[in-house]
Formats: sequence, structure tokens, C-alpha cells
Amino acid sequence: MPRAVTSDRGVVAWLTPIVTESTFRRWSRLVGIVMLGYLIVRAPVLLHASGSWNPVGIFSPLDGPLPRWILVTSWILALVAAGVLAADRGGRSAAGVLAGAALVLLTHRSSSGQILWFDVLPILHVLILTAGAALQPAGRFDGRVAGWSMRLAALATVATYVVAGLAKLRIGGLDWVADGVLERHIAYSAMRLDVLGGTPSPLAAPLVDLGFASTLLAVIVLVIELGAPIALLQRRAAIVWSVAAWLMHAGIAATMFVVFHWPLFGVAFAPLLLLSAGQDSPAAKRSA
Amino acid sequence: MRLAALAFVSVATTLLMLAPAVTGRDGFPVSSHPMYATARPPDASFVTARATTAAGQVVSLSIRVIGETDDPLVAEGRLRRAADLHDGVAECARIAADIDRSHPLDTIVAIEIIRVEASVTDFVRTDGADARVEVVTRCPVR
Repeated sequence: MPRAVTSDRGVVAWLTPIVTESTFRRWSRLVGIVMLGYLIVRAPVLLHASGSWNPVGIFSPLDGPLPRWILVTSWILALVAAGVLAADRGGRSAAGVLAGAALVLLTHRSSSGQILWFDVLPILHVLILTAGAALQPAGRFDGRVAGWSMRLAALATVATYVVAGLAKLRIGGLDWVADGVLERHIAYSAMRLDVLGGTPSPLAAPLVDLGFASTLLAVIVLVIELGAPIALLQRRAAIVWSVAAWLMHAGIAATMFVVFHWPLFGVAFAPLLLLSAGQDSPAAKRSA
Repeated sequence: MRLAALAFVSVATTLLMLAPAVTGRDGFPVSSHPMYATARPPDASFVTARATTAAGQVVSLSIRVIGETDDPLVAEGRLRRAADLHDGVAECARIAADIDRSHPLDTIVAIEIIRVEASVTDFVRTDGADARVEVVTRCPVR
């Protein structure tokens, strides 16, 4: 089991672990690469100014969607900044530009009638990465500040899963784990795709008769979501939980064609795994 | 002192991200993550669109034509709100214009905004054979 990162102990030390510059840059590069791919694949959705407008977040005061030129400009800026991060060049300014532009694009998309929950963790991570880069002292690398942002990103990952698990208990109650709920979710997604002109997963039909397995899978989902905090404890727990959560998302993608790109490409779990892997290394201590 | 300030920011931010679990308030980027949280009822109702030919045959449309997106979540919300607010008249006209402009199929004479209701599991098992279809609005192409 990894030892504590630093010689000092306590909550403050745990929240501000020391990481090496290469660890921080590895995380930053991964964020850049996956954001770059997402911006390209989702361009039609991100650049479309929808007719229906239900503003959230920073756009709550706005009466209507942004002009298209702002969306296009934001998309280009985000694309370039994500590319710079992916290429490991100019971390601080690129992260800042990416955070600003992606916040505009993703908030605008979620203001266009439907909050897209799979965009929540990516934007939180980008904002936290930006804070970690922006607070670096000029001319040198501060492993504590970098570690602080990575720990906060890990906490964001854990918090979003815990909130998702609690939402199921708050909204669905114990009925959520009752027989048939998971198969109805799978069938609902398949029917939605079918009637809206898409192609449902071929796995949906065989899975609508899960029987008792539906309850078991529902319990497993809740255990994964509510058990997310164990991933903060130690390296093995971080690996086991990340693999379990990844398998859950792979199952959702295979049966419902709903792709949570941030966990599926590993970015959601990267802060947990990188921190637990590198925090007690001599290099981390030297970079403090 | 600086580390304590950073730690304070972490605690405050984490509490902020956890708050929707108590308040139930959904937003962006601080969300209550209600996706798949309901104990999904057995029946579902969707608003969608289809085309009809002069001979009265029904023609399926792609999700891109129906919702101007590849994302079913976005298309679902868009069509449902359109039907609730204006009986889907504006969406019907928009799809008809799109069909006219990009898919000049002479045989298609009208677009229908429809509401499809079914038991979700039966719909998947029977390929929609038992679904109930109600025409919300209808508009001509050209």
C-alpha cells in the first residue's frame, strides 16, 4: 500500500499531494487528446444553435442562444487549445483557453433543451486542470499545486458518481433495484433510438428478459456509484473501482449506445490512478 | 498558509459538487446526475416524425432529419417540447422544408409529427408491432 505522500500528515497534506511534472503533464495531455477527439466528433451538436432554450449555468441570464459566430469561434479556440495540450506544448495558456471555450460550448449545448450529464465531469476536470496550471509559479514547477489540482479532479470524479448513486435512491427509491428496472432502461433507450430514426443496439432485445440478473446488476451499479470513495483510499482500491466503473460504462455503451466518453477513454479515472501510482515516488518528493 | 487555502478550496468545491444530492437541483456543471435515476415505468411515450407518400405509405426518417442531431437525448427533448408547446407545427414545417431541400423525393407528400406509446419491453420484443401511434400534427411537403 502506498505511503502518505509527504512527511507532513493530515487533511491538508492529503489534499495537496506532491506529483512530478511528468505526471501532471501526462494528465494534461490525456485531457487534451480526449477533448480534441470529442470536439471533432461532436462538432455538429456543439455548433448547432437549437431553437429551444433552457439556459443553465453561466448562461442562466441569457434570453436566447448565442450567435453562431461565437460558437464557431469558441469551437476553433477549444480545438486549438486541446491540440496544444495534447501535443504537450504551452500548458498554462492552452488549459485556460480550453476551459473558457469548452465552458461556453458545453454549457450552451446543455442550455439547448437538455442537460447532457456526460459533459459534466469533462468540464469540471478541464476547469480544475486550468486552476492547477494557472497557479503554477512563473519559471518553475510546483508539485504541490499540481498535486492539489489532481486530487481535486479525483474528488470531482468520486463526487459525480456518488451524486449519481444518491440520485437513484432519491428519485427511484428502492424500486430502482426492483425486478425489471434495468431492463426497462435498456428497452427505453432502444425504443427511443428506434422511433427517432436511429439504430438500437442488437444486444438490447436479448437483454430485456434479464430476470433476477436485472436486480443483481442494479445493485452492482449502486455499489459502484456509492462505493466510489474507496478509490481515494489506496492504489489497489483505485484500480479495482476504476475497472468496475469502466466495465459499467462499457455495458451501457454496448446495450444502450449511450457513450460516456470521459470514463470510457480513461480520463475520468486518470487523476485517481496517476496519484495513487506516483505520489510516493522519490521524484515526486524532489519536485516539491 | 497557501496549502491551507488550497485545501479549503478543495473542501468547498467538493461540497458544492455534492450539494445537488441534497437539493436535487440539476444544473451545469454542478449536476444532480438524474440520468437513469427513475424506476422507469413499463410504458413510454415518444414524440417523433415520419413521412407519408401519396399512396399513404409511411416512410421512416433518420434521426438527423428528425432532430437535426445524432444524439437521441437531444432529439427526444426537442421533439417532446415542440409537441408540448406548439403541437409540433413549427418542427413539422422545419422537417418538411428540410425534406424538400435536401431529399427531393417526389413520392413524399407530407410530414407527420406523431406520438408513439408502448410497453418498452414489448416494443423491443415485437419490433414495435404493438405500439400505439397518434398523429399530433401533419404538414404538406412543398
